[in-house]
Amino acid sequence: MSVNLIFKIAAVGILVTVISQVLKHSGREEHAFLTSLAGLIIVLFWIVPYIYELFETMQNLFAL
Amino acid sequence: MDIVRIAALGIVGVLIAVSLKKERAEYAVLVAMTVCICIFFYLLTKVGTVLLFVEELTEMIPVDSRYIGLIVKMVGITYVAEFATDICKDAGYGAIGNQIEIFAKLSILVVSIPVIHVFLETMGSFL
Repeated sequence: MSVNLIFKIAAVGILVTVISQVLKHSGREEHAFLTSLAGLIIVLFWIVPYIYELFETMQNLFAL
Repeated sequence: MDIVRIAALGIVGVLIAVSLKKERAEYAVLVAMTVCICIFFYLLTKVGTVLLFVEELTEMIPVDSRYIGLIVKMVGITYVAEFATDICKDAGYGAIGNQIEIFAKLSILVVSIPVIHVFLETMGSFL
């Protein structure tokens, strides 16, 4: 659950960096920005359920 | 045994975050946050066992269980606030981290008001 998530995020980060470099050199600045935004949103989709689950268990555990 | 896994997870996370920091700073923050969340999950299992022990303790000692619940709530508030504050400070936004910290202190104060109230009453009854 946790470890491959970290590697997935790192992979998305590196991929987005490479793609944006390629797009920048081929003259499409806005596409580069869009791909980095898309990568960010994908990663957020992966992380947000974990954050929610974490705070949920915190509330149950500590009766907050 | 567990601590070795946690340490390895942390170091791997830091190495990945550092390598990502130059080109893409936001991914470094995301990787750091993910590592924090994973370690926090492991931490919660330990905290669960401690809380069970605390509950056993309350049966033995004739202390009103309400106070123990308040203490546990305060510990919970501190944990969550510490987690959020450190992530904000790592990302370089100390101001937001401090706001969270101040909010946590105030909420702990609010939680402890009834205890102080009872304490003052008992003191008053002695005098």
